[in-house]
Amino acid sequence: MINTIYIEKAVRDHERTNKILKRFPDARRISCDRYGEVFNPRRQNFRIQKQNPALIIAEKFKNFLLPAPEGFDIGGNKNFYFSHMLNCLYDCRYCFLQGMFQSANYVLFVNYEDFMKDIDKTINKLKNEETATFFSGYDCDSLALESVTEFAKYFLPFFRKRPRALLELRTKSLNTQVLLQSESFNNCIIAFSFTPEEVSKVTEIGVPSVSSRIAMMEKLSKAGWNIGLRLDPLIYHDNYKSNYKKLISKIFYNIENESFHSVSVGAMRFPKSIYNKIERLYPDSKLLANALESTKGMVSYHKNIEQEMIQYCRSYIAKYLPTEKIFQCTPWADE
Amino acid sequence: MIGVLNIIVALPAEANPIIKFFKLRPIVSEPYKIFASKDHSIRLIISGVGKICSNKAVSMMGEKFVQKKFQAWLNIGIGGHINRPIGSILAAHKITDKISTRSWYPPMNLNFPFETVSMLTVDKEIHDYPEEELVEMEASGFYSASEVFSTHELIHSLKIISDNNLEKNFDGKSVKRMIEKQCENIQSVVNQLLQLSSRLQELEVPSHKLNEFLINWHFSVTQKYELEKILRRWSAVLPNKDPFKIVNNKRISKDVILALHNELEKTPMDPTSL
Repeated sequence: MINTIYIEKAVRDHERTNKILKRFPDARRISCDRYGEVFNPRRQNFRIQKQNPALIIAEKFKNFLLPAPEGFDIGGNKNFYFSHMLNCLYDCRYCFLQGMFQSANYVLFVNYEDFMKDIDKTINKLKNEETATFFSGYDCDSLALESVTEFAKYFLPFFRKRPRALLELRTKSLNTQVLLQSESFNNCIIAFSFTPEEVSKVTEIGVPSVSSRIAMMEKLSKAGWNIGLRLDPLIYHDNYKSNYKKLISKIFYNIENESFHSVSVGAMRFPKSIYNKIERLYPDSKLLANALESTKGMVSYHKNIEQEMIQYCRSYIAKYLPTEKIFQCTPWADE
Repeated sequence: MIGVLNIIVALPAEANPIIKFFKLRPIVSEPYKIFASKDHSIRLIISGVGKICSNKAVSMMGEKFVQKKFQAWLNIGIGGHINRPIGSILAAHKITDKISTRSWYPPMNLNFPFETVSMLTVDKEIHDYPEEELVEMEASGFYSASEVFSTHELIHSLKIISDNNLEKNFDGKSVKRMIEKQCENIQSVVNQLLQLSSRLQELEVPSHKLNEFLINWHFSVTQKYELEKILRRWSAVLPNKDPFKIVNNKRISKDVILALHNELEKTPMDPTSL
């Protein structure tokens, strides 16, 4: 429940702003010049704010599209990400956003049309046979706040008409009415991320259960949508092999292999500065306290653990899918 | 672990009902009058009128008393509003300094049992009030100084309406009565801030353990930093195990760190307790 909404003066009368404000008639409304005044000050406590985040309605001026980080590849020639929102509805203990942003408040950029213009410019620059992948769930969950943002509702028709642009909606949400109510199209992937049920229960706060997400994947696949499976981050724990085996088996038991566009696998890792911040916020978290090491500015599991986990999961997934559909999110793990 | 709260009030007339309600006793008389509860969890300073005074008072308190991190800061005072009822209490959700036009946004993480409002800090009294903002004289100075010492969630400002467009007259006695009537509402905010301050302190490195290590072995600056990190990990992974039992036969600090590290690394990672 959102009970505080900050509104940038520039988008006070924006159509989407008005629609959102109507959804939350009792929310406290606070006017600001730029979202950064609220979102960026240092010495905010992400952990406290996460208990009751506010919504900041803002306008984005630049950097609508950014090159996707290394390891975000799922087979396209060029990879970009774009964020209509900063921060996520869910509270996953391994999430890097906790250490990246000063604030846990949700920022929603309502000028969707400006994102679309930039995507078009990028598509127009592609060479003859090139395709580009646009990832939407990097700084937020693509669908979790759909009822408020109507992000997918606006962007699905846009991408439907642009077959050289592949859209990935990455989510843990069951909020998929917008997908189930519209016809599927080939250049869109609905990518669900998972950890085993035992891990999810204690580290993914507010996230729908593993079973309900698998059931939703099945529903979407039957409706013709391409499915992505993201085992990222892989979480190391006792019996991880049997737990990941159970998870992967359950997913492939319920969903036809042909429905999968791609699977990506990557162990938990953080840039060191982000890890240090998260570890200070959650010093009581075991997940962030053990089996990790710091090398080359990154904090990740000990190399042998990381390699073993990735290899194990990759080889188990390969029982169901050809290896060209399996991608690795941590390129250095092969070094 | 007890939380700590510093209250900043401009005038004795505003301070007296609060001092009485929270049973505060004088602890310092010069250059500022400072009062504190028996356990020193609540301290109150009388700053004088205006943003420069509130800023200086916070800075002084911060330098004098802030040994611990995560102390809370609360500004309580009076203000005017175009149409809010006299005697009503409001918390700031935005504070703007009229001269500099800079704004601060106290995070809305507490459950205020009353409404919140935008506040405008002015340098001189005005009686022609803007349509939406509460007008007062200390909040911007208070906030800009407090944010140096604490996390924003622990900094808030409460104002009681002393005058509006219909009623302009108030004096020390009426201010005292208004604040007396709002003491229970103030207490609700005070309790929440103390709890939050306490909770955040508990998440810090268990300093008693760190100190014991520092007394028994010599650690370089880098090693001390590493030890702090390892003790934090220890609290998360092995909360019921005494780290001293692992290291009591170690002679040098390097071996202490290594022994703690090795013990942590061999601890199983039970998925249900991640």
